[in-house]
Amino acid sequence: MNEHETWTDARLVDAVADQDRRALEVLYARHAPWLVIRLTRRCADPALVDEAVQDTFVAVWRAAGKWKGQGEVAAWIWGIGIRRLLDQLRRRPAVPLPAYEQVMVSAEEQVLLGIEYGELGQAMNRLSPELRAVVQATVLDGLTTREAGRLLGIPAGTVKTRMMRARTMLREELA
Amino acid sequence: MNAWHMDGEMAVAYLDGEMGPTPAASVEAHLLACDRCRDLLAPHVPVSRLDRVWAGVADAVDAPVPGPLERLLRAAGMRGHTARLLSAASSLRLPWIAASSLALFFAALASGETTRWGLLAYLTIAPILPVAGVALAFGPHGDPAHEIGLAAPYSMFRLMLMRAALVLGTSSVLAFVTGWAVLDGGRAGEWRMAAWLLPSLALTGLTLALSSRFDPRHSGIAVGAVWLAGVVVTNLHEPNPVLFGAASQAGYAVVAVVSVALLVVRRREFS
Repeated sequence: MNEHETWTDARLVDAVADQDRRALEVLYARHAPWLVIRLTRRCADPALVDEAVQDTFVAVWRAAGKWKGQGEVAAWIWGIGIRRLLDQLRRRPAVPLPAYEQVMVSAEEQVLLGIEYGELGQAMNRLSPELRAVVQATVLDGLTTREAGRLLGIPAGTVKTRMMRARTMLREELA
Repeated sequence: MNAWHMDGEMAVAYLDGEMGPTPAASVEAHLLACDRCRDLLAPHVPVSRLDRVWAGVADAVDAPVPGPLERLLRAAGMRGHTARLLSAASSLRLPWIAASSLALFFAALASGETTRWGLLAYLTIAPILPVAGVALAFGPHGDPAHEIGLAAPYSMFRLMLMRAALVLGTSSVLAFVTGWAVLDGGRAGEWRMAAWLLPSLALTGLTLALSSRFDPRHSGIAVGAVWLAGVVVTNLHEPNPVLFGAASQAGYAVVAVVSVALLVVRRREFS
């Protein structure tokens, strides 16, 4: 029906940079749902997540010209999204972040998952929730030490030391 | 390319937060690169929620970006709606200001070149610019927000005065700067550099006062024409700065005061 829907993400971002509003709409339809879900895993308050997602796509509209055209558009959007969520969190009083609390997994599941995801997975799962949260925030979410600290509510120095400890533990596990 | 994909069961486990942190981490990393798996998640977010967030995005995206003047006024502490109302006038927009400075620049240039007619071109143009600007700053023709203004619970008289003040302010600054930069202040005689100031106040005031009865455009044209005619008649044979002399300046002051008094008396005519 609409030619925009056949475009690649990269082309859509280029079009958004040229103030193509329809392109933003298609980009939103493609990327808002997973962003909502992934941000919900970081912050349980749906109102904050909605605000963050809204801010993210407004930022995409304004900053599309700054996209360098390299890598995945989704990764770029995630980078904006997680930082907008941080902005939201900074504005409100501290909210607990259940996403970084340990999710209880039954022993049986643990074994299955361990088999399914191999040694690294097992090693990761053996990390304490605090260490794992740091690994998750820095490695997976792509946050800086300071941003990770803000998200987890701990000082940046603590993020660094926990990251170091996690690295040593993983090395020992995998050796 | 990518052999590993999420199935529906995994998607649900991830959604419900029932997936262990490590598999969840690999799902998240995979999602960044795989539109197929992203689409698998999409139906799990209520359409109403996405629509609501999109409405917010659309609002922010469609809102006009405030112009330089509006931002300046806001930075100076003016409230947002007043700043927007004020800066809606076409004679407060960049093209108008650019055109004014160009006209002033050439007038000043001409004044600097001709020895015989002295500062005449510059002194003639400088008071006309605010008249034209004010004539276009309100009323149904010059003001794009006129109809909105009529319906708004906001005093039209106040709006008009504020716009007139802003127009007068910007064109005065322009005239000062151009006069100072193009015409050497010392050589031209210090007092003459500002000889346009009272005429421009008087003419602008007169335009405003006339606008209480007539269309502001017509008032502006009439006032401008009278001014030009006056300049031409007094300078027809030889340069004669009588219009900028002390007696005339006193006259302009009187005209300005009378116009303001008239304006105050007739202020109801504007709303």
